[in-house]
Amino acid sequence: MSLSKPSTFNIVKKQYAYKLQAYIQVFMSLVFIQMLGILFSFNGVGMSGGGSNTLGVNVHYYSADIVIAFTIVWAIISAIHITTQAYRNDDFVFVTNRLSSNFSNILFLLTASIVGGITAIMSTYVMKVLMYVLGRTEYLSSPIAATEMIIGFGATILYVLLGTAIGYFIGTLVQLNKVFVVLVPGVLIGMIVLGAGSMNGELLQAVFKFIFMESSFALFFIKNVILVTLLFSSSALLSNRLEVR
Amino acid sequence: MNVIDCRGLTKVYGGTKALNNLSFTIEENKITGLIGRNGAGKTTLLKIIAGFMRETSGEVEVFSEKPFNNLFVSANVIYINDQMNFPTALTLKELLNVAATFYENWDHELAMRLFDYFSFHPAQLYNDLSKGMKSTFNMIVGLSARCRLTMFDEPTTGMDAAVRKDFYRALLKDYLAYPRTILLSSHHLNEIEDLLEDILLLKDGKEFLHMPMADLKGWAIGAQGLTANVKEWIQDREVIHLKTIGLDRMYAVVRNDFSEYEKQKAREAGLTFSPVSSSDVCVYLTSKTKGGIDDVFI
Amino acid sequence: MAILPLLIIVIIIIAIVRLSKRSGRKNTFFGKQIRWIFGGYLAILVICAGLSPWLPTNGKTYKTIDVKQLDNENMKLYETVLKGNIDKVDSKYIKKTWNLDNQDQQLAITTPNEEFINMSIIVERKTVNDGEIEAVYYKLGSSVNGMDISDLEKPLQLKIEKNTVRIENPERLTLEFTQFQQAFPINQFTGKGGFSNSNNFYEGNSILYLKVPKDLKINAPSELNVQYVE
Repeated sequence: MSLSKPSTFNIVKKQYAYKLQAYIQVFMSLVFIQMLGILFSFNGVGMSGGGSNTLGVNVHYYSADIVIAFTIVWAIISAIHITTQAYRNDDFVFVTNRLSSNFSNILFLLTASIVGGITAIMSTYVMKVLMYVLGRTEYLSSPIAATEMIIGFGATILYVLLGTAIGYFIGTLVQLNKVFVVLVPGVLIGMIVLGAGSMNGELLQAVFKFIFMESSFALFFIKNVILVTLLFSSSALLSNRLEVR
Repeated sequence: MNVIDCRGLTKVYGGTKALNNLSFTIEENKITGLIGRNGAGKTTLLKIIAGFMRETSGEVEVFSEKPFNNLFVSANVIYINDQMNFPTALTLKELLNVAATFYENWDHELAMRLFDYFSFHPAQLYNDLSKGMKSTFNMIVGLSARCRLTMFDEPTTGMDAAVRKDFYRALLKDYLAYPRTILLSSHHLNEIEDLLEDILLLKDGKEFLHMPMADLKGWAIGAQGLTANVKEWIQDREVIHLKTIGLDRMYAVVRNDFSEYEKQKAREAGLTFSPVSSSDVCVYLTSKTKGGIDDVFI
Repeated sequence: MAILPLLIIVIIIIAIVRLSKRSGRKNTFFGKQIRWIFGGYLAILVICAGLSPWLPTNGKTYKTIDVKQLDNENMKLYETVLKGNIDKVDSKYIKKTWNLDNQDQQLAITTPNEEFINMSIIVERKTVNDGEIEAVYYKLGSSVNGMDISDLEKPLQLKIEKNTVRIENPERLTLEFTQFQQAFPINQFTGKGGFSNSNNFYEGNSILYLKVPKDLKINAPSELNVQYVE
């Protein structure tokens, strides 16, 4: 028997293929959360009225917004999930080191984001068909251009990917020190509760503007990729000394 | 060539030293038994060798490389323990298929033959297996991987006697056909002593004894006689174990390093000698106090 | 919608706490089942995507209309009529015309219950007292979110007799629409505003143009907007 000399690339490939099978539960929860999203969207994601004294207009809006929001939440939670001890140990049952483990996790999350993003946008069609089945057929619809559709897929995938990167980072912090189990939610709540008027509010708004208000897709793409890269690489660096099993 | 080379290896766990300045080397293609009481640091040592944990100080090299976070070591080492967990989404058959992709020397035919022999079902889930079945499945993975360094940590947990016997036999046969370095930790030394070439005894995180198994067999000797005689005889000797029998008799286990003449003199003093089995030697060597459990109940 | 972000954060917090506590895992579904369920879900998505363009929408499709253009037309019409150049007005805006005999030298414009009426009344005096009144009712298009809903609107009710003009609001009509919006990641880049559900309702002008004899006296309640052509 000879000693095998594996290359990182090769092992990452194998780990990725392995994770697609082993972490399939993640896709199960995607189906659940998107179906829940579709259900919640059924009352309309919003309603607005207007008009004059002779004419009133009420418009009930339907869109994939809730499904997309839910998908982002799913992305965060799934990413946290695969950083947990049990999942990390699944990696180390077979050949790996922390680098290849992180790489294959990121590849897996990227795949999950693509799947999540595309299905989230496509959930609109399910809503349309369901509306038809239920006899709610009077709707205004504006046709969508192919380019808009592609941008839609791209942007949603990027949002979901950002979610996974945030979740992966949080999950890694928690694995490093359990203090973060309390700290991360604490900071989140603090930002929401106290942040409305003070400095934090501005910070939150700035973050919101930085991502959600960016109207140029190219800039959005660059910002997102930079953020995602930063989050993933710091997670990888932080977890490089982590002990397993 | 040394497969494992440890120098002053120390691992601190929450204030206590799980491994304390441990130094030893393991040569290629030997079956070494890692023996020690619970908490002696066996699992910690194996996990450090497998690269899962980092040493606190000292040096450890596996195939001349540092094992922690090392892909090369990971590919050539397999570590099987009873706390092993496989992904819950995969069936047993799928798990074997995945393992086959990871280990270059994986023998899938052997894996499938063992799989059938121990009557596993391909669609079974690992989590649904009983403890003994889990251990058996782990063992199949460990054997079929044919890693240059194969480590079994308490591999027989939960197995019934028949399966244990099968396992040792399978291990020996596969080892003879494909020699490799094997580290085996077990409580049942009497079951594995025929298998082992070397023995590494750990006590309180320190290497206590590292020698060929054959040497261990004559390493100690038991002597029994009147308390006064025994006490006189064991003066200045390395006493491993001491036990009073009845009112005035005593049993002592000492290192077997005296001459035939000395023995003859002892016999004249009314002492009777008896060989001590390897597993008993190990139990005596690793016991925390001189007395043992009897001394707790005063 | 406002509660949604809070809900999401609560879910994330619960997830972090739960995941960090749990060491083992329990599966209710295993690999093969999940693959089937997920495959089924994908199939549903694809089938629905294929079906949705062919769904009949009850024949109610609306012309899209550019609100800016609509606003321009409104302004132009108003200004044109205010200058008295009614010959230049496109006849498609004319809802109704009347020609009346009026020898009383006065005209009363009334509204029931002093209701607010969204209408401009533009009066042009002729140079002679010929005892004839010409009345034209113009109505411009309205839109909701860029959809032309002019056909759904009910016009103002005008009852014009010899010496009175009675203007009544039609029964208030409420239109219910269901609209499929593009999701926020699309709207973000098409300038339609990320999450906002603002309604873009535009109501076209109603103009009553009266061409009256030179010395006709017009009695109108003050809340009516009556303007004279210079």
